[in-house]
Amino acid sequence: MLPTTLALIDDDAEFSEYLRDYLRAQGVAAHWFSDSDDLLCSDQAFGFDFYIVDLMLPGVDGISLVRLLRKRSKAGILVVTGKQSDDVFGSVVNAGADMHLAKPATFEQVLLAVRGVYRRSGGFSSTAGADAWKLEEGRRQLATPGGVKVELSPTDLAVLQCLAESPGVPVSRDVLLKQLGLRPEGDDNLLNAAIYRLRRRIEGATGAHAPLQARSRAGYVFRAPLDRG
Amino acid sequence: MVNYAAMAVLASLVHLAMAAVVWSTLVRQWHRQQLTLWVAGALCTGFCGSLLSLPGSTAAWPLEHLGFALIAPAFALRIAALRLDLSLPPRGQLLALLAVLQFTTYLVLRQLEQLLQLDALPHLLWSQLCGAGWAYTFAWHGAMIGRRLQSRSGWLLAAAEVAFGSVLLARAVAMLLGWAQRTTVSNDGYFLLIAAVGALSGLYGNLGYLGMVLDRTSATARRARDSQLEESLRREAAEQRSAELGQLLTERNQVLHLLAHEIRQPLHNASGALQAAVRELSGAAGSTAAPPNTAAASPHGAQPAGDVQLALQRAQGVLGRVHAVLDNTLAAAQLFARAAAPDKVDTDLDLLVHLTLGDLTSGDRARVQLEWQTSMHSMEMEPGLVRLALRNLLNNAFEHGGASVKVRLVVAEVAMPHALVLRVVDDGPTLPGDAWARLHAEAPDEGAEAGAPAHHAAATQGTTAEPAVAYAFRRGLGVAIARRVMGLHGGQLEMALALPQGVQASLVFPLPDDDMPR
Repeated sequence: MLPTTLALIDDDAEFSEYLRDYLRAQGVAAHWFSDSDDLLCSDQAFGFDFYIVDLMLPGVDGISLVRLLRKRSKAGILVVTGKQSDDVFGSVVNAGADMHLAKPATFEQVLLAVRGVYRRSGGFSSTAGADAWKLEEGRRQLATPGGVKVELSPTDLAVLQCLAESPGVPVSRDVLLKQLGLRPEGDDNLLNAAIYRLRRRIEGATGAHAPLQARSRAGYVFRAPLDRG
Repeated sequence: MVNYAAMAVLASLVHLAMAAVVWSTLVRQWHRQQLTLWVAGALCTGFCGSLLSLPGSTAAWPLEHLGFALIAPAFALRIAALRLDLSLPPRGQLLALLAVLQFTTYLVLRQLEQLLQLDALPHLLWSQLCGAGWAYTFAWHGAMIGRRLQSRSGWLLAAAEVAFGSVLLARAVAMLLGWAQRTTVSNDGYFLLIAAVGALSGLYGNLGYLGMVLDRTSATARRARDSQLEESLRREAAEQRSAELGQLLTERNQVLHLLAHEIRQPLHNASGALQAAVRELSGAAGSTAAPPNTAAASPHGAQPAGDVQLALQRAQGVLGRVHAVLDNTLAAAQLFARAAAPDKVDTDLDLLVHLTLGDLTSGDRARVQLEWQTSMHSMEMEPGLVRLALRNLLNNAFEHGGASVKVRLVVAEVAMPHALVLRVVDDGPTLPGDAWARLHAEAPDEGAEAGAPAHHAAATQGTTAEPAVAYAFRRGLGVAIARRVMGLHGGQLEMALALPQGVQASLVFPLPDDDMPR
């Protein structure tokens, strides 16, 4: 499962051209932008299914570009960069990227990452509808887009209700703790356990990755469209 | 006509007034015991002088006796105060005994004077000689204060008491020689001198004590200020040093990051070029090119295009090793000094494992058997760090196991305690004892809290003063990095012998207990 269109934003022409050709050979309509400004000024700046972004870019820097893209698009975002320090990963993830790969990376590794991220995020359309998950609060069930029903505990339901109120935006741990009637200090492990069980319940029923994602130091987000009913 | 008795009363009042001044000035600044003794002594002096100088007191025996009785306590109490100020034992019992002895002798002499129809010379002589003795003893303690504590006020006190003792002695001699009247209060120059010197002694003696105490308290305050200033200078120097070291560390990290980027970028480009070339060759050679894995096993039988392809793949392998060494070196420089907790995100385990396998050469990758023993698809972790740790365990397995080693990568969920385990098992030769001990040797980061820099833990262990990075290079960088990564994640690296032979290394991530409240 690969995205149909992909924007590659990297000022390194040599590698980017090879990668673009490789992705095209895999059936992905890959477009290369050597400058973030070029992407932002293009007609379909926010219309791609997937973005691969370098951090050290001419024009708008990589982190800011990721933040802009995340505000306007639900597409998967993969950061591939040679920049490395303790805080790079945290900055990238908190800006809204789905994944970070350190350079050098092989074409196969980039493709694996694109496929993995797209499966978890880009595969879902940006609007609720046929591809949306459905939270059936009365029956205490979560229905996958494929129609599989996941039985929920009262704690699971409370967590999902909280996440459904902030589509696409991370809900802080403090808010979730409050929703579950737990203390902000001292009950962190109980929240970890609740999230762990919910994730296991979804993965056990669907056999696939749960779109319930942790955002480092920001909280949790349900990455797929989630309708309440 | 001068009223000598009134002058003596006025001199006594100076003592009483000065006692009040000393008390009110020092009550919150000085030790209560010494101050109480001093003020009590000064009050006794004042009352003693007043009682002995009151007109007609000679006729009022009880008052006169009381006046004489107070002579010894007047000095003894203040001497005890000075002894305490000198950190000497106060000798309270001895002083009290002397005071009792003095007063008893006085009473006996009065009785004898009555019985033998004598004048007042015996008890006056005795009392004045005793007073002089007390005054000199008191002056000696004042001089000790002046000498030991470098206090001019102590010397002033000593001088005032020497003067007072001397006039008492002079009047006693004058009485004995018949030059002075033999009465307690007399209208002669000797009594006037005693009254005047007594007033001066009351004034300067108390001022001397006040000055001595203020000298000492101000010296203590000055020492405290000096000590505070010294501490503040030390702290400032330490902060400056710390800031300099922090700046050096920041600059070192910036250089490292710059180098990392400058090295990674060409590696990345070279890798891309090689991969593109391999793909081109694969297209050109079509089915004649040997598959990568079999080519690695039998290169001599390959076609020319296959030879080139093999060479390119080997070049890719070399690049991969350079990449791994670069990553480990940077990790050693950064990871062991890292204070921040990992940025945990839920990570696709399948993706993580395959990305890590993608770091291996195609030949090594083909020798890895992947086993899933869990239905878990994701786990919260910092994927870059865990990938680095897992890659190191895999590389170690190939290095340790040799060319024919087979490696199993097991992703399992275990109970007791509940954990996710990423286990690398090889069937290589059993490690020699010293190598095994080396792997199990306590690392500097063991026991460190997640998020605490390893060098801090090393510093607190006493016996493990070796810097963490140096330790890592000496003990084996890959294992040390994996151990540190697991420490940051609140988990651990477990090393064990594999059966029937080989080594198994496990990255163990604790999971929430099943019995936690739902």
